[in-house]
Amino acid sequence: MQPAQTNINTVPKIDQTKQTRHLPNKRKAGRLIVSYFFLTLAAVVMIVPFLWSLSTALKGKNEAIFSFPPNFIPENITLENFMTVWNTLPIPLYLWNSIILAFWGVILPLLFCSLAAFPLARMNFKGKNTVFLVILATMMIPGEVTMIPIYLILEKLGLIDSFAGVILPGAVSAFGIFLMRQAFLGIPKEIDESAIIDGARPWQIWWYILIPMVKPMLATLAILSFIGSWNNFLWPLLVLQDPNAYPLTVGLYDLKGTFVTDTRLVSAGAIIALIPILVVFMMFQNYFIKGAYSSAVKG
Amino acid sequence: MKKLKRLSILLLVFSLLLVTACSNKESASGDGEGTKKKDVEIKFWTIALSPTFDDYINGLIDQFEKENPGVTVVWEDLPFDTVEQKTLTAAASGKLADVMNLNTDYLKKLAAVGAVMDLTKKAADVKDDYFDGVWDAGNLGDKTYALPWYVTTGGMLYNKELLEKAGFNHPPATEKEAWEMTEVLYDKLGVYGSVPNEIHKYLPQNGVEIVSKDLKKAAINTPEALKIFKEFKARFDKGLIPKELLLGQAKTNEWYAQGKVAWWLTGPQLFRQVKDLSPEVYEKSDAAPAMGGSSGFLHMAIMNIAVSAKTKSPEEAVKFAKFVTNAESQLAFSKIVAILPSVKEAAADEYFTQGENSDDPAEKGKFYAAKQLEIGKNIFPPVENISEINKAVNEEFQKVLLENKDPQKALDDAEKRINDLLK
Amino acid sequence: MYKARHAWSFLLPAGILLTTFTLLPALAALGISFTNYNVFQPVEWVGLDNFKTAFQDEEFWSALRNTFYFWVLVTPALVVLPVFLAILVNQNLRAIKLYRLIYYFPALVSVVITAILWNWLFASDGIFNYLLSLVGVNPVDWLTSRKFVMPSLAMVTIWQGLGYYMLFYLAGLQSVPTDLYEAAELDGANFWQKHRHITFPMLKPIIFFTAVISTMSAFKEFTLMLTMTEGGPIGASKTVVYMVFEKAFKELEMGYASAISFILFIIILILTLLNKRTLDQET
Repeated sequence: MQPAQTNINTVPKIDQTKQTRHLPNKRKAGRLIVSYFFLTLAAVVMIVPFLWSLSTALKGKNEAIFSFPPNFIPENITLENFMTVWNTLPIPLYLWNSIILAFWGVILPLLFCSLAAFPLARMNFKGKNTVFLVILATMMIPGEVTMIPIYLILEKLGLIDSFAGVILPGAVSAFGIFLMRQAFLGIPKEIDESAIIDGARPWQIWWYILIPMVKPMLATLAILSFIGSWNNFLWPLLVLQDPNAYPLTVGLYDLKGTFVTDTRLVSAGAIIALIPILVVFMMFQNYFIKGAYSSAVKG
Repeated sequence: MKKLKRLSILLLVFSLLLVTACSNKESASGDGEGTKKKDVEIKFWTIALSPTFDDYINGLIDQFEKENPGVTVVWEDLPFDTVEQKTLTAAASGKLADVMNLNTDYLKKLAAVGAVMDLTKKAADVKDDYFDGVWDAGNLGDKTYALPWYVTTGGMLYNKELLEKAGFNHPPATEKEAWEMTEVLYDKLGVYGSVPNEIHKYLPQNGVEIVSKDLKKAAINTPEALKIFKEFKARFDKGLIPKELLLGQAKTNEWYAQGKVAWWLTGPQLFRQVKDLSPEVYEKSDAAPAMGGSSGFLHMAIMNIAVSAKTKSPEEAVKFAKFVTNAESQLAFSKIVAILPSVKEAAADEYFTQGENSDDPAEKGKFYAAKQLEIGKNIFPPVENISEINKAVNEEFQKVLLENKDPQKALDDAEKRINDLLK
Repeated sequence: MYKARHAWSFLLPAGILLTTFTLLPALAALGISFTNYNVFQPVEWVGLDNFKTAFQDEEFWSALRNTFYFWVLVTPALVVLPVFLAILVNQNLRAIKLYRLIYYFPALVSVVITAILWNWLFASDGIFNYLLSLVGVNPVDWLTSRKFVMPSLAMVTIWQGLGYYMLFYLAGLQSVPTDLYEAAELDGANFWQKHRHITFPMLKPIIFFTAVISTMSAFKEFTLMLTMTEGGPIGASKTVVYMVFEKAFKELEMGYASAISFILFIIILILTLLNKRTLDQET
């Protein structure tokens, strides 16, 4: 990436002989305090809605939930709402359906998007700009007007009422290609050149050299794809006819009735659905390693 | 390499799962059709009734199938927010359900484009079973496109404690009294009383028709309407009408549950929402009859059952629609949830003549509501763009209150917008 | 160095799926915009009628203005602010993973719950107005006045998007070699100099990405308006896609909805191209 290269060179020259590891202790402690202050301040602002749903889910039948000002700590904490949700709906079945859908909903975008992003970021070929623009352009049309055409295409392909019908429309996203293209752009061009001189084939460069370098972005895409698939509500509902094939988010919608919607149960359901997302988020964060590639790569 | 191997094994397992999951389902549904060998299949859509009413709906279906050998009813329940999307995608691919539960607004849209069957003749035989004011809800122009299913007239849930604090020992019985009480409540306690967030219902209940009888032009621009607009503007300026409720941003049930509103005008089947939100406030609550407007009748919310125009088995579908809405079926439904039947015979059941002295506001509310069925009616004119018309009226009304628009100018504009929408 | 056939073979699998499930439906929608399609009745070609209607439709112009306003309020903030959050969580600190997760919560919590809580904050007797009263400021009609409704909704959107966009920047920052910072520090560079000369150039592709994506989502936002204000007061928060949603599903005017969508499409396309010219030098 040209601009980055030149700018990095304008950074004051690095004196390798200087000790780089240890900053003065006082400054370090001060910085820690400042960091944690801002971290915690932001965290408080961000976590409030989650805490509210959690506290609502833990409130018993005879406790008000829309009190003003909001009451965050339940008077009597109870798991009764979770039990009710678990007993009214086939949660394990829904969970299983969600897992299958999410598995494909993560694997396929990771694979196809990073494949397609490679030539768009690192090769020169005729029509490259047009292809990239068309991919971007597909994101600019509201889903509300493409919904019926997509549905009809799925029907022509015989995919209505099958998991494939839910998975395939989301298997490649323009968003994912775009994201991976930007990640690949950040890697210096010289790497490919030297690999080709060494006799590497394009797929080898892609798999052995480039993919390991964009792991943090792949992890990001994985997290987003997982959440997207997990929270996908409209498509499973439109495509799947059999309630036994419903994923969790669609199944949980049964908690909202025409006459009575118990917000405590809805919150409990939302918390149940949130847990796998949290697990996956923490899991993929392991690919965020400080300084994933060191400046040594730059040669 | 090790990782790659693990990944490929995982992939294999999941592919197998996917294949078996799909084929299982196919063979299962294949078996079902094979063993039953029914000639006709009817698809039935409802809105957000499962799983609470699974037993009831499945019971209905079983009974209908028993009485009509050779007919299978397949029931699908749609989440509230996705009725439109589901309807349109299904219709685009020719898979619209044969029998559908629709609200009055959307029914009119679908009727206007010929999506639902004209039942004027086919259902003429049952017309007299239903309350007159209810039957209209299924109309577009002078044709009938749906049978009325369950209905709700208004009821009133009021907060005894708040009223006592303000010095009242009874709930308001008329609009006039309600506003007098509202003023005292607001001045003494800072809480609200009447919250008219739906002027399109208030106007017809008080003698102002929105659309002319022949459905060709607006009828709203009258001195009576002007008077109503001016009255509300004066109340608003006194602070009696909170903006959030006027604009529909806050929900009256939540404000009532927080003790910020002294009474809530709604169907008794929704009273329990307050119990859910705040058991404490529900304890202090009691039910009363709804206040009618000066016209002497009450608005009634109606759910309809329509039949797809493209159904392959029109006879069975109409039969099923009539079956779902007949007296017996509706009575059984009403007993599970405090809704009201649209059929006279069911409403006459002793179940609805009890509850006057119940401690539970929901029970008591049901009694009052059933008593008011006779004066309840569908107040929306049978025109295609009724929801847009109602919106236009509300917007002009809001402009008067919030932005000091001249009431006469607002009515002029509303008239113009309605006339455009009627074209 | 690479051959064209390599490029196309890498593009092929994604190309097939994208063409089938995204490009074709989009073209179909374009076609629909020249018709009076309403799903139920026979389709008629109406030429540019829908577009003409749109240009004369006051509601559309107002929705377009609202949408632009929303974009101006939201996108710059969502391109800039998450960078700082990302820098903050790109440190090797205890429990940093937990903090990252917490920052992502607003993007995870359902829009209904978001609406409930923010409605509390914005209520006329709510927390924001209470805080203002402490410093002697008159209460503000956050969601109930034309003047404040869009800034208020923008505030919610920015709050939701901070953690979301932080994640891209964080992944981008991961590929900035740490010794560059250490070296710069030893040479006396301060916070701003460090990030101006190291972080910003390295993040340029990601900045382009967030600028494009946040522009698109700002232009396509409507669920928040649907749940919090229903497009009100008096249409002041009705966005273009809100209108598309109403026309397509509630009013059965699929042709008109598609036409509006395409006008919006052209606008986003132009903005994206401008974006590309200013930020993305790699073409």
